[in-house]
Amino acid sequence: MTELVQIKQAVAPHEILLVADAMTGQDAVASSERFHQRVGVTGVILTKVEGDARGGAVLSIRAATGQPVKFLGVGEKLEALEPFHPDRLASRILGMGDVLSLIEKAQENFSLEEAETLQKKLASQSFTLEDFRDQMKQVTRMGSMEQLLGMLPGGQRLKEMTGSGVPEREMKRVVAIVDSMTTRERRDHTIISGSRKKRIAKGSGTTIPEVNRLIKQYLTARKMMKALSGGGGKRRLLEALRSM
Amino acid sequence: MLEGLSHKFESILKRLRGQGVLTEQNIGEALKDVRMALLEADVNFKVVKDFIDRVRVKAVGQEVLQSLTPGHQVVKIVWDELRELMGGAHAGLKLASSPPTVIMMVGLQGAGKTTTCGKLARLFKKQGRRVMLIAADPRRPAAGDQLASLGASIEVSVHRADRPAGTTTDIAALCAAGDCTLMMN
Ligand SMILES: Nc1nc2c(ncn2[C@@H]2O[C@H](COP(=O)(O)OP(=O)(O)OP(=O)(O)O)[C@@H](O)[C@H]2O)c(=O)[nH]1
Ligand SMILES: [Mg+2]
Repeated sequence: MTELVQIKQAVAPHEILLVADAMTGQDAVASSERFHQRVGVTGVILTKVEGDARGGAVLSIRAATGQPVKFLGVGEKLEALEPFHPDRLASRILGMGDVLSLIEKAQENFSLEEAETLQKKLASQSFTLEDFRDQMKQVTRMGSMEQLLGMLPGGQRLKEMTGSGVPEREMKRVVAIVDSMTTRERRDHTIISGSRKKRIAKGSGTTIPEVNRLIKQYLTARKMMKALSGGGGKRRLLEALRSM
Repeated sequence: MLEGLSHKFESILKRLRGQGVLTEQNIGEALKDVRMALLEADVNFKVVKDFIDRVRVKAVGQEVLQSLTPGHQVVKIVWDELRELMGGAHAGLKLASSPPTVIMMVGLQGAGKTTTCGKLARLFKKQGRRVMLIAADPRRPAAGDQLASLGASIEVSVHRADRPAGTTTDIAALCAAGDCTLMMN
């Protein structure tokens, strides 16, 4: 600690951020208090929060140190860092969801270009099964389904209903089915007849009802996105999500 | 993340919202459950006590009890207090008005300092800043190696000031360069 004080005096940093492991609960809080007393910190970053079911550190550290939490570490990967918003986390804790963070995550992970291409496709009715599959893949880029569901209002219950791991399996199923289609089928679902369905089911290791279900899902998605892309996008998306 | 706590809160508040008329007594019962939930979540004892006291004072007020939706009002009070407990408003990083901004990272062993340095460096770089990382732990050369490979993976330059002698002056000199500097201990 004396070395830290020496360095602090030598460089006069603008921020001294304390990094603490949220999984260690009250130990994290106690060590933060010590660091703050001896070195003087200006903010806190809590790490490993994604694996912390309890939240003791997140809820106590501000009161204990008087210093604000500025970021949360939510995974080992370098993009797993979230700015800390007390209001949003309060909503998440109360099961009201954190739709704003979800939208920001989406904006970070989908480029403007991708969004515009999608918009055009929807406008011209050319949103195909191929696009549907790519969308699914993009969603997985945003984080685990479990994490994303946790941000939706009532997401906790949704998670229990689907059982952990199922959404990911569902995602893989979608990709497998679409991959088993011919290019023509992917671009025009109306040509997919009974015999084609049989072939697709066989190729993807699924069943005909599952293929039917996927096509239905695709049509619903297309309809929903079309409704959302008609201006006032963000607000309407918010409303749609809230009503879930 | 925070599933355990969230789960308990959801069911406590659902019960509360479902009640047409609220009395001091059933608010008291709900608060007892909230208190238990927070303690089980390993929230500091004193913090829990203050939290419950604040919610109670607001919740048993006449405006709440006699309002049309007392349950919802109480949920709103709990939300307000949770937000306040976590600091109220969002606090961003304080950056220097003229570069470089120097950020020092401290924390217990294994807390995630090196990883978090990499995360912040990546973020700053995305914002178009010139970032530099400085390893400053003289006791563990391996830590500097870890930072070096992390920096390489995001194309951010890493400087070593983790030699046993002359560390502080080295660091001070290095910090003067760059646009945004993250320093690790
Ligand atoms: N799951 C998860 N793991 C994390 C997070 N942040 C860091 N870690 C992991 O925690 C471990 C320790 O991280 P480091 O960044 O090396 O920690 P450190 O504070 O630099 O450790 P020392 O230099 O040894 O004191 C590594 O395995 C990281 O991948 C996080 O937000 N979530
Ligand atoms: Mg380290």
